[in-house]
Amino acid sequence: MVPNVEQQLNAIRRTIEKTIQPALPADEGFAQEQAGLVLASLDWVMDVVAHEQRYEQIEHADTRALLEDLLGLAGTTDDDARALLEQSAEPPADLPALREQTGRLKAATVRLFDVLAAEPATRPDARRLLAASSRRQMERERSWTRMTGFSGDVPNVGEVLAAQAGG
Amino acid sequence: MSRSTTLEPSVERTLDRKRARRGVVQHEAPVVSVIEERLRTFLAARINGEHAVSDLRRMAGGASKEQFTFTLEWEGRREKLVLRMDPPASLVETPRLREVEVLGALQGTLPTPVVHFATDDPDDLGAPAMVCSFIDGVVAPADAPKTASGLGTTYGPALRPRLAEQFVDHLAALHRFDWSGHELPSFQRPRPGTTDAIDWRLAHFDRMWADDAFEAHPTIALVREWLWEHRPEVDHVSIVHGDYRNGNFLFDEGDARITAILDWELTCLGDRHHDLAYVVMKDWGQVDPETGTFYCCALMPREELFARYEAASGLTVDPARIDYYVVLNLYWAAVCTIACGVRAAAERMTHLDVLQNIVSGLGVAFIHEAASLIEER
Repeated sequence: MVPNVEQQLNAIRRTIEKTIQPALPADEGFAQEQAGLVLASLDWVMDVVAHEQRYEQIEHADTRALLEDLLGLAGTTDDDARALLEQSAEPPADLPALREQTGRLKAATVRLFDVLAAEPATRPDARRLLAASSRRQMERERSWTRMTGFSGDVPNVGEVLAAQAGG
Repeated sequence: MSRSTTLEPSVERTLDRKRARRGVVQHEAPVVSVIEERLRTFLAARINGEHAVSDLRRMAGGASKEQFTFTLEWEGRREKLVLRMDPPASLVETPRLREVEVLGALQGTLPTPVVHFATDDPDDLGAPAMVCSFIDGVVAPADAPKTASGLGTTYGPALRPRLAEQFVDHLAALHRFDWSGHELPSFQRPRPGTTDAIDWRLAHFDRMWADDAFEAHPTIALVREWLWEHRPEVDHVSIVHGDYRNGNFLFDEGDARITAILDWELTCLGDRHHDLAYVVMKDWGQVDPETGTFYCCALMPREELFARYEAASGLTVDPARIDYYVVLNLYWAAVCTIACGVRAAAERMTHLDVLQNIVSGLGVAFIHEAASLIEER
């Protein structure tokens, strides 16, 4: 594949920085500001572009495991969630299909959590399960968005995904 | 735990209108000559006598509204004014008239822009909009690093103490202000000793998330459940600014005087701890590299700030409610930035497409912090 996505993004970034940004009128503050944000956004995309598929695979696996754990709590019945759990045993290879199924798993998870958290008997365990899964989700999301500069010094998403896949 | 879905009517109408625009209205690059012409027509219907509009220019900065400056010659004077317009969608969608009503009520109490004209009708100027005074001042010292939307603005050791006292005193004046006799038709009036105000706020955030989120989010669900479960009652109902922090006020760099408190679009009636918790959030603050002291909003240490606020306002600071509202504020910002901002960009309804995606990183940092805080409790 020539040129690959990363190379194209690099070329776009260099062109904007070298040619387009300096040509903007100095008194066009809004345009100058947006040009800077475009460059920052391209840096972000280049940081994560190679890891999107892997990210979605781990997101799928984690969400499915959480849904299974929540269903395992005493007294829970959710036939739709159980059916989804069976359907998703083999994750789709295609990225849009994978993403769509993960979205349905997340919706089922949150729906079930809300039911369990409304009952004093199941609330503590439901919270504990969700909190444990949330820590891994947050680790992924913070590394995915690290180039926005809001999460401090966090590792590259490739390192995080490798560690989570290994764990 | 009961979750109310009741919204304040003006908020609900605003969110309904935004939902109706989706898929129908996209943001188009503003043509200055077209806006100027609409502005002339708008003002001609509202000003008796001779007047003239000139020098309309787009302003940089901000994370939600489109803003322009222009010159208006009217009533025998020449005045620089600000036109503030709602894009089809943005991080925050609130009724423009709430901002207008509060700014009107607070004239003479706090330094705020004067609203000369406002409209909630998109037929007037193409979008809900307000025309207000242009106030001289800066959001940051000339030698400070420029930040997005003024987030994390710092002031340095010379300006800091002079601005800090005013910053706290203005907040105290806001919260002790007796709003009860003022016409505030865009607001519902929460009852002291109840959770009315926080119920409406949480229902508002739930609606924002339901409308704009791309997918369910387990961490958002975890924090939302905690917030509904732990809602505190309000003892004294205040006008809440909703975005009171460094970067959201102007000051004169020469005499270190705060000239205007800005960005009232999130104002509501509710618990003062909503604002106080926002002020002490670590995310806006600054650690002095020499002393290690943490300055809330890069202005004042927390205990000193609370002591001054209590003395100036005559109102108490409740640490438990501070803790609650820190989580609420983090959650609100996460909903805005992970759901609403990214949705606005995806639907091509904003003038800040790239910025809306970038600030989702702030939402991720905030919801991570909120989840960590509730786990500690």
